[in-house]
Amino acid sequence: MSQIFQYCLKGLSRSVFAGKHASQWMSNGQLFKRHAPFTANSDPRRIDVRASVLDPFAHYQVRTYQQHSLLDVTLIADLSASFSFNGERAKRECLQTVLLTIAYSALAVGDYFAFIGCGQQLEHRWLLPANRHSGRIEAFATQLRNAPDSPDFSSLAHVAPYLSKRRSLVFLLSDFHVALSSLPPLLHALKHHDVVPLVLWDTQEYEQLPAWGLVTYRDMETATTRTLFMRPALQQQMRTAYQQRRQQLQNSLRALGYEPLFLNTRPFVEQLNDYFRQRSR
Amino acid sequence: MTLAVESPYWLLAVLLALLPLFNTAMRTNPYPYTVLIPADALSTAIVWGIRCLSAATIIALVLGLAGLHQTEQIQERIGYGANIVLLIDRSNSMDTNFIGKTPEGGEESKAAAARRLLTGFVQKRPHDRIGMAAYSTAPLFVLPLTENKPAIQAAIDATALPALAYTHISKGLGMALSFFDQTAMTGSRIVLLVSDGAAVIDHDSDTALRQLFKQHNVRLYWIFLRTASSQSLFEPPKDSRDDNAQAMPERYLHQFFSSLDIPYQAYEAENPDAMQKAITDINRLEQSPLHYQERVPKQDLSTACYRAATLGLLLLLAVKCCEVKR
Repeated sequence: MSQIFQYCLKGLSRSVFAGKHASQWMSNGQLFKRHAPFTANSDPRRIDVRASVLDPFAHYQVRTYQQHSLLDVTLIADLSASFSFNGERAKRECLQTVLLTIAYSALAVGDYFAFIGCGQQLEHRWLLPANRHSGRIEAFATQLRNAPDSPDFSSLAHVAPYLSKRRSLVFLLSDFHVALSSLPPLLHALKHHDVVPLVLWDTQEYEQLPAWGLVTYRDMETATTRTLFMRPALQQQMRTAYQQRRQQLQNSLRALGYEPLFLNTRPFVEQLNDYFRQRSR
Repeated sequence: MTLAVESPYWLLAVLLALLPLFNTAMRTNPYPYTVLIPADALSTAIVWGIRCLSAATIIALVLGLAGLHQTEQIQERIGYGANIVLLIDRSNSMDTNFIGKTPEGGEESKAAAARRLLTGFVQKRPHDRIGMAAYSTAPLFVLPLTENKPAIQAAIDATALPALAYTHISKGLGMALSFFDQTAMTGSRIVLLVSDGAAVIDHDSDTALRQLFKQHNVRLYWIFLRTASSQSLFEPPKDSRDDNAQAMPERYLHQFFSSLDIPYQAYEAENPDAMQKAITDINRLEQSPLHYQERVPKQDLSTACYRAATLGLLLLLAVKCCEVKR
């Protein structure tokens, strides 16, 4: 996987370990933050003579700089039945691609990557603890293809214990095919983190619909069936319904403080790069 | 209208008609979230249409298998016509022609002429109930009073068989009158006697017949197929010694009928055309309202059921062809 994207955290990392991302810690770095007493930061190379002379208490003043720290990157994925839809692209394959893209991007800057697969119940075999082993991540990604379909992804509400204690970057990959009213309780566990909702819909769900004919759709989660007499008017109605859904979902997620990324058929790396470029502005 | 089935156990299979409620037999495509599909009244209507059509097809098949039929029934009808009993003379002499000889070449016997004209008569009177009796030495019961035209036609055609022996008219009249025993008093009652001769009516029969004619309120038409050599019904004999029942049975029979005090008309038919006139007369006179019951035979409806099922299956096949294939 050669292609990686650049990501950043909204706000400052709290990790004490040196890394690539701006943190709240004062230490060695490029960006001057403030003066500190020598006793607090006993590095004689950083003594600021002018500040020390001006100090009314005649203490030595040391310049401190913003430290760059590590960041924990977590991907939470939807393992519900609707997310195993095989349309133009298989969603499970997309999940694998996204997982590896994010993992390699994290490993490339030395960050830890963790994965949480959410079904109806949290299963330990679909949890990948924070690590930096590409081999392990690849093996896990291969294994993830065989994950069984779950009726929903309600376990998302219970992921808090498996997330980093510190503020981390959380990607949430799902089709968000749930009632909008159930989104706030589901996402409650993620409120301390910087969440990037990745919305993955297949074009065959709403764009590439048959123009004429009878078609029976079976809901992948509830198994209810809908028989439709497809015609251009209904085709247009369904597209409009998805556009509205997109708008509503965007509004709901923005209300929770998250800016969603609606994935399309372009390479995921490009889309994620664009997303973070827009966000850092 | 009463419907019935041959084998009622098949009707249990009608429950299969509930199947389309659970499965429309359409190929299903997985879809992530059907909640987002907008409600569509036309689609719903079409789905219910398909379900009803499937259920109707299954019901039609089951009814076909069960052998649905309409039971035999009796319908009350009102028409213009009469209860007519054709009383046909089957004596030997009927097989001769109008000059008393065996018909040769294109000539027509009296029986054949009677047959042809009666056929036309029956066809012109669609609402009559017609029965038929014949007589020779003994009376022959041929056909009870019926509105079944093919049966009447067959009975008339049956007189094409060679004739029998003598003429015993009183027994024949007795049988013809007995046809009315079981008949309701609707419409006029007619006995149409077709004969070419007569016989003496003995005293006992005379009394009995008088009583029966009165009792049944019958009109009598006599078509006398007169052979050229025989005597007329109406002319008195030239020699008064011949004026007795043995010498002139036809004349005395005519007098007997006239004395019955019932509507009576005699026609002397000396050739086929004269007989035609007699029949036209009767046809014109006897047009009174007739209240009668028509028997409609059992009608098999399973063919119609299978036809409906075939139509339904073809429509469902068309629906199946409209299905989107991916």
